[in-house]
Amino acid sequence: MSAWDPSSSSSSETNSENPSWIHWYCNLRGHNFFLAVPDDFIEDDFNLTGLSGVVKYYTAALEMILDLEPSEPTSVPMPDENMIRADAELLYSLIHQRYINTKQGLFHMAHRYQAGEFGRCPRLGCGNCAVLPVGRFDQTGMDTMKLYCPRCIDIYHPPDPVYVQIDGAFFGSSFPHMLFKTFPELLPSINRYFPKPPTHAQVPFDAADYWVYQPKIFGFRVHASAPDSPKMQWRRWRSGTRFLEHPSGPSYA
Amino acid sequence: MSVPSSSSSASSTAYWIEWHSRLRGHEFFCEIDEDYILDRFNLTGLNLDVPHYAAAYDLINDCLEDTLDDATRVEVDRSARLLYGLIHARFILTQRGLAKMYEKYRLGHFGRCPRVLCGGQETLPVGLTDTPGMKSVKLFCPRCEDVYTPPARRHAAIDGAFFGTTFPHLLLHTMPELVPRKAAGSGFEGVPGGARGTPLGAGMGAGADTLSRYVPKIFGFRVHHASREHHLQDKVAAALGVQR
Repeated sequence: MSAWDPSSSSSSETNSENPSWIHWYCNLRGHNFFLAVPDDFIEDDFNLTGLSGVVKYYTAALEMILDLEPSEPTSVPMPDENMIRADAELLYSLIHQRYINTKQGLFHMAHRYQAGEFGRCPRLGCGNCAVLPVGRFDQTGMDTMKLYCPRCIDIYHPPDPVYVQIDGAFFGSSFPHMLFKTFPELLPSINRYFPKPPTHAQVPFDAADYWVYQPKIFGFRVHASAPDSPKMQWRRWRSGTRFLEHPSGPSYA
Repeated sequence: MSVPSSSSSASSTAYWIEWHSRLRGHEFFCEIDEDYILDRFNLTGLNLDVPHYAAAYDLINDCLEDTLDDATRVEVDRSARLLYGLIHARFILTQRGLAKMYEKYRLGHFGRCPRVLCGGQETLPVGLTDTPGMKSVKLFCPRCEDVYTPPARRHAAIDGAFFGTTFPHLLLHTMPELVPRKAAGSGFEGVPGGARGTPLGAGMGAGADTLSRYVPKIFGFRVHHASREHHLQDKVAAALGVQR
């Protein structure tokens, strides 16, 4: 099972006329951060331990995800199709959260992170650092997906409005940190500095390394006793941050 | 600034300033008062930066005679935008300009801070340099005191020098009551507004505590390298004498 690739319109193992539920779901608008969880991961009951208590129509939802024929209705009356669909999404979000924390899932996500598929940090002082999707909670229905920047150790709203309905539980609160624990070489260095102020011919637009913003009024810093003086710069401080200037500023030393 | 010229549409509208403020991506600009432009004292030195200064000035004031050839017309069109932007950078530092920009800030015309823990704080436009043609406009968040790239791509074509490096800080300096509350005594990090979180689709919860800091955790346990950085930040805060 290869990682789902948004650039290839139809992967080789599914025929394009009748894609599996998982591939259909991952191809929906705004769902391009998701991985297609392999069937053998879902078919292993051990991986789904405890989920039957969270999802109401667990069996029907699982059958929908795996494209199985609905089993014979037992004593429980068959629920509405829309409710099964909602439960299938709910179940898939929790399975997805578990899968991307496995070795295989982390490997695929690390590849996509290296390609910058999840976007860049909106903070200017992070120098276009690649970000990872993260949830603030592991439970569904709590909060939407956020983006985690490993450089400033902070979370941001996705800039594109297609992601505002994505549940954070698809990724969970541990995923990006688990990825950097597993692949520590992917952690961005913040300790690279320009030896001298870069000219604009040297660096691409806005490309700069880690810096902390210094507000100035007509070139002067505001005194610490003033109510509007900067009080939050310490929170952007990382080991190795030496100077509170952006590199193209006039007083960069 | 290399903005594709559209001189034909410029001549079809009665007022150049009105046409300019309706352009795509120009919603960060406020309309400069006419008497501010007409006072030549306010434009001191701009003739050195702007080519075709006199013609551009006439175009802004809608009194340019249409005798120019097409090539010059395109250049004058570009110069007029540059001149207007540079006057704008000066105007928004005046009392009248600050009041106009405050009104836009209050109405949320500049967008919100992308940082989750800022809880949807309104931002202010800022430039990273006062020299035109260097960097596009950025957004300054008064709560986390940081600068961000605007999410909309159309703003990447707006010059940051048309707002200047000083503007948001002068606005907060003249109206200190606008500075968001920062020195709150909450010791609980990471989850502003309690552990409830915001419901799906509700967007951003207001009133987030600025001092809350995102704490990376793996299955509930803090991550070592992040904790080390946070410890360093606490030491820096203590050294800077920040009241926490």
